[in-house]
Amino acid sequence: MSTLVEINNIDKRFGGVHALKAVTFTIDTGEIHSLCGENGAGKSTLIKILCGAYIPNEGSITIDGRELPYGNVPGVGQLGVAVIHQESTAFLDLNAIDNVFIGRELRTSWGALNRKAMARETRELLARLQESLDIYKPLSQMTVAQRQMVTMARALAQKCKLLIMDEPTASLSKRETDVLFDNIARLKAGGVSILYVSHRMEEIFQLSDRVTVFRDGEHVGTEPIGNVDTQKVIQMMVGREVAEFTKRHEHKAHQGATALALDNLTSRPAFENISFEVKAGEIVGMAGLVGSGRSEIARAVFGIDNYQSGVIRVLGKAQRKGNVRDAMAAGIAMVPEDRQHEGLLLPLTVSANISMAVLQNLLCGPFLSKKKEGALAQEYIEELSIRTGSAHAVTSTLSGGNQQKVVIGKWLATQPRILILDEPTRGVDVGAKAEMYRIIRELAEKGVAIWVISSDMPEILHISDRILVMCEGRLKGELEGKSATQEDVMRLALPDLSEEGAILA
Amino acid sequence: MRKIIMLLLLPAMICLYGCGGESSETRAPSKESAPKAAQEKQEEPKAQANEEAKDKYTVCLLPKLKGIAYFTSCAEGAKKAAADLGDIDLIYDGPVDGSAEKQASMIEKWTLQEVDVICVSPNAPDVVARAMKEAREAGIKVITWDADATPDSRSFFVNQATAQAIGYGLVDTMVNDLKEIGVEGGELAIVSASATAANQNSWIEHMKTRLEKYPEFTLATIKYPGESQNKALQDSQDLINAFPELKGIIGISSVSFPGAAEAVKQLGKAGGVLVTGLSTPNDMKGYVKEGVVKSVVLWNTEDLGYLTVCTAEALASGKLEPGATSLDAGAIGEKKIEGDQVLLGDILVFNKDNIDQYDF
Amino acid sequence: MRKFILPLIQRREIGLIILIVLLTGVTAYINPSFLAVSNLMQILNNCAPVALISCGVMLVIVTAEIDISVGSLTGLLSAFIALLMSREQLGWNPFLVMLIILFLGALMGTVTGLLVTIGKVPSIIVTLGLLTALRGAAIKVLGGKTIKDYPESFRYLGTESLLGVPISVWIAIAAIAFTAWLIRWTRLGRRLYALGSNPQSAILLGLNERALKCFTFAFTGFLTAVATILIVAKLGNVEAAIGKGDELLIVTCVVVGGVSISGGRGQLAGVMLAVFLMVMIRTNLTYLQLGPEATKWERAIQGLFILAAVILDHVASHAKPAESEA
Repeated sequence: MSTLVEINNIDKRFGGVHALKAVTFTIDTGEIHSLCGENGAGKSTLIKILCGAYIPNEGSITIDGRELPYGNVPGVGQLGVAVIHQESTAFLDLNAIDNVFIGRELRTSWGALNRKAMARETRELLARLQESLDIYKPLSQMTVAQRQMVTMARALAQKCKLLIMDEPTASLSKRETDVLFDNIARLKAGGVSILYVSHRMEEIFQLSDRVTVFRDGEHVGTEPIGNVDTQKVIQMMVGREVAEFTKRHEHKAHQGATALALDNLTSRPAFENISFEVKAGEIVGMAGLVGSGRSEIARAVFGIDNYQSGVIRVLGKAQRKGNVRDAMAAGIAMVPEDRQHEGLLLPLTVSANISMAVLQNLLCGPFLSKKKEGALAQEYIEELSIRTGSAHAVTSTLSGGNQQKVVIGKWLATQPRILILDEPTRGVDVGAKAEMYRIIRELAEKGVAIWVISSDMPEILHISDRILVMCEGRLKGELEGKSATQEDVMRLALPDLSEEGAILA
Repeated sequence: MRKIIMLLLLPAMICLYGCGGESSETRAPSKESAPKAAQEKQEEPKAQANEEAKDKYTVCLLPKLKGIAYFTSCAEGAKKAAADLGDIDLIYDGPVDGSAEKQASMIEKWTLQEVDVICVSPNAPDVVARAMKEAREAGIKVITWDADATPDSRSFFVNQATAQAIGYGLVDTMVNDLKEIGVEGGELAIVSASATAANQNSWIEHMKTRLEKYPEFTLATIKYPGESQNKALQDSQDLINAFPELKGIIGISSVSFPGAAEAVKQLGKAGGVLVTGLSTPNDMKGYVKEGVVKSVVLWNTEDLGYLTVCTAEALASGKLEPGATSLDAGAIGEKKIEGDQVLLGDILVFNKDNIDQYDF
Repeated sequence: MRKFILPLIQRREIGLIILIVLLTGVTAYINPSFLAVSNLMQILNNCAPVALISCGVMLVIVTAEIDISVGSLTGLLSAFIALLMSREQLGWNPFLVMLIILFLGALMGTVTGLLVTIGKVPSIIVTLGLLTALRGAAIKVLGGKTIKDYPESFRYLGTESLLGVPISVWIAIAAIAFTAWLIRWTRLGRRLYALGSNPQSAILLGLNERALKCFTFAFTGFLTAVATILIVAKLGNVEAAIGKGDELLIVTCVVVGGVSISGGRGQLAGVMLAVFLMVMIRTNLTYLQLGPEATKWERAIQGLFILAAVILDHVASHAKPAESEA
């Protein structure tokens, strides 16, 4: 196999921050090369250099022997580098054709757009990806997976040699992920090299030929995938053994009374006839595919959304519908899935965010007591070991994992009896994940009823006392946390096509 | 970079906003300027003005803007009055840029020179009022003309145009013009400024009252195009199309009169729909000559200057006391006084026979 | 059935057409002369300048910027026309003056664009500043005068018709056709939408943000100059208040016409229908022959129509069937 990309001694500084330290490795033609590292390890910086957004301070990158035109995005594109970013880079208001061709539109001999040719080519490209979507529909009306297909079609249209994929499966369901992987395999067979960035170990091991690990801006190593295992990669990433991560959680459930009980809760079309209980001190995991209705149930329980029928009881007392104040007063707290939009006020300080839900306790007469606020913030910064310069640091400057802890701190400040966590570790690196699990466990031991919604299978298996599996708006089954396997959960989570209309297990 | 531009932009905005506010208030035609600026001879005030007992009075006439034809015409009348009365030293001076601050400093200067009477047409009453009060405290008689200031800053206001005179004058002129061309009845429409313009609204009330005298004519509707001549044109065109019985349009703002005239001209309705309104003669001269407009209504500017000087003289010589109900203004006759307002009363009608005699 | 009709009302254009038809029906019922061809031409003639400027402002808003200085630019450019062309003033050749005005309009637009892109001042601030600055300049240039007396050859642009359609309407049609072509058939048009839809991605794809935005402002300035020429030719009088408040009418038309104020979305057809509706309302109200008292309510009625247009659109866009799980 020939070498396509040579990354040689790349160094990048931002002011005093040394983001990349003399990074050197190669990517072969037709190789799927995974790039791992905790958040802040320098992966994004390297990607931005590779796609022409940043100029390195030192070192060189060549593609097919030709030096990359640093800092020149279109120039890099012409060399055959395409990127599918973590955040959607698609133009949601435009249709598939425009998304594929924007910036390199085909034109007729007299200068106008050649719409026919572009439509034809878009269809052909999508056909190569075995996708048949309406190319005239704006992307805003497509699923995330379909949008990704369009972005990949764009990469194909550019005749790209190196495709960089940054967390492409973050918001895909299992089925969609499989389709994506098929397409990645197809690209590889066509001789395209892929630099694959992900936090998900299973994906890395399923796909890659080689894996490169960064830590604190340094290149820790590049290994053929056969030479390493999950344990080893994680060790390379964090620089220490993370024993507890792979080990099954062994907490002795000293469970108390029923804290939260749902009885036939229904809100069509999101979910139907949902009944389950969470006891004090218990950690209940809820698995299922994206879109199976899990977050919607949580939103209904927390009073954000209304529902059609059924009862929610907290400590035996029926709750009013759609009333967040009531839910909070009853001791429910929820850490939402989309922390940037729903959970955090990024421009505000850490202490302002933590105190947000309990301002009434921090009053001194009619005024907010800054002293009380600071003390409260300090308490949770210590308890959750939030890594921040001070309680007065602006939240947007914190890393993803620490932002997540701020959201949790905000809700812990309300002294909740029931804590709902929706995807608590999405976009959080391995080290922070382990810490999050420790916090969750400690809370459970203090008697808080915890309900974790997660698409991360190892996470669910690792942390839950009991696992509820959702499928297409129904509660498909319940598994014992100690004994359940990934396969058990998956079997329940996938829609059962042979038994039509399978109901509660 | 961004901050610097903001800093540069901000004063510019504030400064220009100031200009904009001053010049864009709803205008009665008196503030309109005419294109040709007549040169005015600068008369230096005499330092010893007050020395020679009381057989000569120094009267200062302060216009809003020196050098525009409207005020030049007023000054002509003032000079005539000074000549007729014989005991007046007339000083006519004012800012050339319409600045109220300059008006104030002129009043201050005249106060120091201890003139007898200062007649002010204030650009901004609040800016000028302080200087006017100081002049009064120094024993100088202060009156306003053409535009009024706060009542405590002057003794009399020479009011060129009562709402009643204007309202009645417009209706009478319109009806007379229509009857002259053989129209004995039909619908009329008014194109005003905005619905909140106080002057226009009070004129409209008097026009309605006057129309009761002519039952064969009815007021069909009133349009409010605001400050936009484009909208005034559009509204007038729509009026002519939508009201087949419409015989006349009265335009009562500086944009609605030419707008209505242009509409009649463009629709080829000259002679079929008459337009009249309030304007300085120069602004409407073209339409009058083309026959679109028969008559233009305004107060008599020369008489306004004449009456102002007569009022000043009467005040200085003690002939005029607060509470008087009339004033003898010599060549222009006996004028009514209501409260502290000296009323000029009559309006002046310009038509194609006399409009060339006026240049403002 | 549902499937058939709903995609239709989801389009904003349909809502606007319904409103226009309703309004026309009611007015014609009360005053049949509303339906006269000459009146339609009159309304179209009134639409022409608004439509011209809206084409430009629409593109500005598509790139997620805004231009609220167009009314004042109209004022300043008309002052220049007055000064250069009027026979009372310099009395230059009308054709030459028009070329100068078109150039000045495009230049002013470009300067605005440069302030926004290179100066990185938000366009709302830049154009808010220009809104007062340009109006102030217009007042200074005119010195409070009304300037009349333009060559007949120039006035024809605003007063004459060609094949029964006012010349200004032909000019507006040409500009609309050009804009439609620009949007649908050129790289430039597509890139403007891309830029408004997702600026970060657009820049990462190497689209030239500065050039694109500058173009929209310059285009707006140019069209404003064209509109100004038509307005002055029609009015025959220039005073400092020309175009005052037009920026609000135009932004309203663009937004009611379905252009997203956050950029990336909107169709020219919708904007043009909105222009027609907004301009037509004024004429309709006159044709309804409201008495001297009722006309004070006209502005409120106009406001209600704007609300109606927006609400109708909102209802239509939420009328789609509940989405099934993907």
